[in-house]
Amino acid sequence: MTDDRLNPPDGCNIAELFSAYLDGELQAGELDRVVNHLGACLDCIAEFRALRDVRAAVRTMPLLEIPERLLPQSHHGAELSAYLDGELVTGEQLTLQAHMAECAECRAELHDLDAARTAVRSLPRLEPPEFLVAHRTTTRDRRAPRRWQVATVAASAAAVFAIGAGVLGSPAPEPVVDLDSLADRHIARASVEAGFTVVPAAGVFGDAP
Amino acid sequence: MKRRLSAWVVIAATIAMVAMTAAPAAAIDTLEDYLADAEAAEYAGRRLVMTTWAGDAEVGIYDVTHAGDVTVIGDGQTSVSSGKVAAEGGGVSVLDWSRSGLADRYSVVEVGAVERIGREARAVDIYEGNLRRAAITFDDATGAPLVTQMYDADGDLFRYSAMLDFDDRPNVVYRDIETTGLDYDVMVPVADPSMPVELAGYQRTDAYRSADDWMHTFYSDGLFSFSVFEAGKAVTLSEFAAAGTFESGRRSYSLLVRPTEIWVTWRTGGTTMVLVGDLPPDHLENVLADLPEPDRPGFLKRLWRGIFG
Repeated sequence: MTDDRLNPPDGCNIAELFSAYLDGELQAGELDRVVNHLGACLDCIAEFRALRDVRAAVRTMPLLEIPERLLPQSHHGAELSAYLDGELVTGEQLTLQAHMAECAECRAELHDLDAARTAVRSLPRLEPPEFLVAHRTTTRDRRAPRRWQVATVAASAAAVFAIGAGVLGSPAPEPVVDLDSLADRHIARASVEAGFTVVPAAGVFGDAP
Repeated sequence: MKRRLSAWVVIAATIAMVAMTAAPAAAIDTLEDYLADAEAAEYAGRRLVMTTWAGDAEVGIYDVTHAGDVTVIGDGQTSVSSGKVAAEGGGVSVLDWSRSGLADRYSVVEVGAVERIGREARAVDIYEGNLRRAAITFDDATGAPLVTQMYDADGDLFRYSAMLDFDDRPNVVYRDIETTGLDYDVMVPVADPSMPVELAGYQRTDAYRSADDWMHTFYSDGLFSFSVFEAGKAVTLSEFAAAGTFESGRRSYSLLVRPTEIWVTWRTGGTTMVLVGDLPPDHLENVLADLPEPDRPGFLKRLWRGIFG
């Protein structure tokens, strides 16, 4: 049995791009072509909606439970990084999520991986020392950095001492938390509730959208 | 005479049959049906949202596009799909969740057909016992909520939401929210949450621990919902610096009112707690009464407040 709604209309050769469009995989030129065509061709709009409905129906189909022993590998460590990067296609993503719902090891690894990525992103950018950049120095030049190094070490030691004395002399300040991050988490979870109509107000504490 | 009697019998039987066949059609949909239709609706427009608290009103107007399981807010700045929210600076992804059912304390009464911003619509009232808790107007063609009014325990309006204009053929770029290229902070479910299973009629559905060690527990009764965040330590929430105070019995909380939700924070046992949600004020008081109470201020602080307010 076939669905006539999925047949491309006569005279239109753009239907093959719809699937890529729904996957967000079109190049800039192709995207313009699809958007412009959809704005003018009622047949393709109908076909586009039909394709979208079919994809939505496929997404809502129940996942089959595969016994762990039949899986080529029961640990999905290799896919976790791709999952965090949003590089998995829908089917792979659903399979991985279903697996993680049962696998504490993968959940822990995902958590650690995400924490590590966050930590790496927050590292300060370091400038390379001058002696690693310069290729030609004179004897006189080579002596000069030594004096600067001594001065730098002394200044650093003084700064560390001053900071240490300051820390020991006063209670540690409380961390300051941005409520926007909590708002995002609440909205993300609330968005799966039936009838979710609350206007998500990410950035509620900044400028109103 | 006998023929006239037969005619009356036929007419009565016909009326009875019509009444019997018409009865199921007159039966109203359940609230779950209305909410499911609203979830599947496709529309765009501007929405006004207002929340009142203690005589003050917070108002916001938002551009909303809801289609294809994705809600886009405010010039495409924020995208929300099932379990994900992405803004310009990054995103949050909920890994897993449980759907909550509608609490049996709610019942729906159909008010009738109405017209709103030029569209045919249907108005329903939602009752909690004998209290009218909400009045919602659903668009006939799409199922989208056009107007939502929520009431407190005294029957006074505390939240009003209305579409100011409405387009049922939104111009949406159907894209997977995952393709935004942003980094997502993944919220991983916690197997053994410590918060109560039930709080004042709200069921605990899920709990998550974030990368920065906040414990997030989500509660819902199917109509309203809220999140409770536990920091695990004392933290400063800068946005609450100018917040008002909310007294409930002998308990004192800091309170922020936003157009779409209410924020409450307090400290207990050396940890900072935050509650955020769209629940009515009387529900909020009942929920807070079931949560750990705020630390009482020290003697000097109470003395200072007693003298200077």
